[in-house]
Amino acid sequence: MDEIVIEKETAAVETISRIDELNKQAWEVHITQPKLALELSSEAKQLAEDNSYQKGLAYAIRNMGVSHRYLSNLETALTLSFQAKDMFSEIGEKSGEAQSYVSIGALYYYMGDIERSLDFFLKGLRCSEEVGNKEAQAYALNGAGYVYGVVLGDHKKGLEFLEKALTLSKEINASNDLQPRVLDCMAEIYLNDGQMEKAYEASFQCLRLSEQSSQKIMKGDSLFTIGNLFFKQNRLDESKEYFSQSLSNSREINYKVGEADCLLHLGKILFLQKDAEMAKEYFLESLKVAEDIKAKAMIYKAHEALAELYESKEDIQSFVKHYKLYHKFKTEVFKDEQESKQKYLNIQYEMERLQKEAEINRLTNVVMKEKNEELEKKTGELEQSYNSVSVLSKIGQDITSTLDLDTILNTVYENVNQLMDATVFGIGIYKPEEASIEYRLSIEEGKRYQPYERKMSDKSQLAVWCIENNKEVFINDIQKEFSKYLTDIDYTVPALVILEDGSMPKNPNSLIYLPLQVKDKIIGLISVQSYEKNAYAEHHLDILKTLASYTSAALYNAQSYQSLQLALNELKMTQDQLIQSEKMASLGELTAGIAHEIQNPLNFVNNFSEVNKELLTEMKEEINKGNMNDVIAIANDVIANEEKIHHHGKRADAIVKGMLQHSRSSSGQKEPSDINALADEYLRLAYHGLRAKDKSFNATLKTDFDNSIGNINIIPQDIGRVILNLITNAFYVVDEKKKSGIQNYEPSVSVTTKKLNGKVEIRVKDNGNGIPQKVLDKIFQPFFTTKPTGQGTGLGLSLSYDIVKAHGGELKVETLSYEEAEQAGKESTGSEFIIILPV
Amino acid sequence: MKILVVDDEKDVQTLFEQRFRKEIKTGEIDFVFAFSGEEALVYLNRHEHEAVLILSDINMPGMSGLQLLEHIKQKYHKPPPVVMMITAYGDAENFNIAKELGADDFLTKPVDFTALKEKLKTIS
Repeated sequence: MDEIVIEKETAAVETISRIDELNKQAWEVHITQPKLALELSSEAKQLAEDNSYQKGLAYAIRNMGVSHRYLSNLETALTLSFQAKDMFSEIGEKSGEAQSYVSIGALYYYMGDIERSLDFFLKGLRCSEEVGNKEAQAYALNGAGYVYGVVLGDHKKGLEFLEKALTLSKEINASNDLQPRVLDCMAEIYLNDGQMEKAYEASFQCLRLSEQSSQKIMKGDSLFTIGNLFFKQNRLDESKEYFSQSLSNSREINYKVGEADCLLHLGKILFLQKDAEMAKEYFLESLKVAEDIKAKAMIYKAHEALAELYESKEDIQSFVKHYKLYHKFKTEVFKDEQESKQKYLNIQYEMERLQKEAEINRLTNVVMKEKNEELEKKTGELEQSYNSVSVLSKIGQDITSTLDLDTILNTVYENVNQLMDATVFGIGIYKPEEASIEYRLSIEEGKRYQPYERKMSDKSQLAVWCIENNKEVFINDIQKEFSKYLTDIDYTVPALVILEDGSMPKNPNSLIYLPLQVKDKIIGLISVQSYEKNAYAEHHLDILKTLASYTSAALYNAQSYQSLQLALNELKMTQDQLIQSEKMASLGELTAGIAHEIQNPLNFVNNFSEVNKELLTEMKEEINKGNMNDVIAIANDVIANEEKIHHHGKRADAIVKGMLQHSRSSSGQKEPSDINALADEYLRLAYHGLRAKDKSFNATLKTDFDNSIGNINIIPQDIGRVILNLITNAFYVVDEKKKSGIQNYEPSVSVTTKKLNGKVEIRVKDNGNGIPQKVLDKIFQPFFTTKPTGQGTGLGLSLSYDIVKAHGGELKVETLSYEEAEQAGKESTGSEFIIILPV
Repeated sequence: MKILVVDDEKDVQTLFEQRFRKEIKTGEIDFVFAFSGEEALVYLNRHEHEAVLILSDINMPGMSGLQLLEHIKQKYHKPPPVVMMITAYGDAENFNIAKELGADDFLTKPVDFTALKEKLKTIS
């Protein structure tokens, strides 16, 4: 009230109550009608500015912020909320400040920044406790409870916060939207904790309450939670029903985050029901919605779902693409590991409280020596644990930054000694399909064990117990405590296992086993052991748990990476095979042409040598007659014929060599080659090859070779393959056009070479129908073909492109397609492929 | 006797001239050469009824030997001259098409000139 008394001087009483009224109305409708709330608060803002009414202005901006949040404009909402928070703190309006903290916490959560989100919820909690604003306190408890329980997976702590929030919200106002919200969070935690009964109870109660108070967002959320419950129990039809309801609800109120999440889950259901195509549509739509509002947490989930889908379709390229994006966004969201944050923030919060308590004690002059000592001890422990957290987060970075399994294991071991007694240390990888635990790395007193396996059937082992029960084993005196876990214990590692220096392992007295988990899957265990009794305290267990979570994440990533690597290797092998078969296919096209081409020179070789035989016989006769003029004339003919025999013999030789070179793997050696001869040879081979297969095929061949080029340095069989491929394609398209029955069409293919400045250009031009714009950017992609199935491998141009690129050259195409030419009222010019090679 | 030889390989001219040098010397046979189907048609249109025999390769760029054969036998010259096809493809399909289009004989490369001379004797 004080502020209002002061403000009276600058603003009329009616205006102030008008502003307050507008703000009140806006706040009441900001969830159900955010657009209206935005209008009301904009009006309030304008009035407050005109009248320099600071408090009214702060509340107006706060209301604009929350309205934008429900309109899914997260960034605008964040900016406004910060502005409001600063104004509240400036004018000392603690209630408003507390509410702003909570709003900012919620916004950060939606934007995927969990650390800041939790930080602001806790700030809001402190602030609202101080000022005694129960509503803000309840909201803050709800937010923090959600982050602890749902996001960070600390169910116990989350429920603790939420129960407080529920009690408070019942206390303050029954029509408040908070109660269903808290119930929804609790339902989600119960679900994750496997308490299905309680989860159903909470979520249906939430649905009822939100329907009663017509809170659309909450209704959508609770429908979603119920959908999720059914989904988790694999009751897909019921699940789909609830997700669909939630989806239309989200769309109705333009609640984008909800929309994206529903689409994602509906896609998952379709995927489980084997409708991969529809599932893909849903995933893509979810991704689009999430990208629109920059909700990273949703974006990575959508990419993850898409990656999984493409993996099942064995579409490796798309799988890799989405997997990378998934990894990228996930890494951004979980930039610093969650657990260390949680600990770090807890410690900060606790330390501040402890300092305050100590301060109060000092001020009230109550000397409680014992308590002070206890406090100091606690503070000391906390500081020590704070240090541990720093070390841990360093280790976390080291571990998660590598994808190599052995490096991960060694990094974990190297660091664990800094934090606790790890005389014996081991990491086992659980292999469910072999029912065994594989110890890749076990170390005792700095000496390694040989890698060994532990069978899951060996029930006298604590490691087996740990995996089977998915629970920690925590023992400080083995003789006394093992019976908590096992009726009978067998320490011995398998008899074959001795340490690397030949010594035998010793028995430990204290030990910890922890399961390594990713999501709900157990992937192995981590263990530290000591010869001493009572070697480990609770905080050692906590530290090892944190370490276990890093290790799990790193191992999981490494395993994913390995399978990715495997898939890539397979892909590469398949590619190599395909390239070989493409070579063989084009060779097959050539053989007929080669047979023909060889007959022609042979015809000359045979006949000219026979002619020479006759001529020499004649020459003998003329010599006998003494007609020396005739003898010389005949001798000249014989010489000319010999030259022809030699020429055609070499021609046959070149054809055979060319064929052999084409089928051989490329030697990879560049050699000075006559590009004109190469182009001419392949033009003839391709033409005759096609002609041999199809008698009706016919085309005009034009060549225009630049004789000034000389020899250029290329791998001749590779460039030959490119030229052959382009020419074969050109023949194919002119033949197709001819067969389509166009009047007066003369198929024509030309090959031109030209020396340019420091470059050589080889152009292969056809007068076919050209390449439509819409496929133009695909023609160099592997497996793209316009030929009917079975007629083309779709690798020709892709291989050609790679070959030319490997020569430091360029492969381009200039084309005007038939359809586009017609639209422009022009003649189609066909296509022209241009190889540009450096000299 | 006037013989028109059609082949895209230029060396064919030298080969025929040497193989038939005695016949050419005595004026028994007169050779004319065309290096494509189109060129052959131009010659035939200008010198109608001059060529008694046409020897044509099948596989040539542009108009093929079979197309030339079709022109000669069906569209132009009446009575059509004798046409022998020479090809590197010894396959049945080529042979059948050539026969269908009215080819009088069919030779494969490498050309056996002794056999060719025998065939010419029966024509003249």
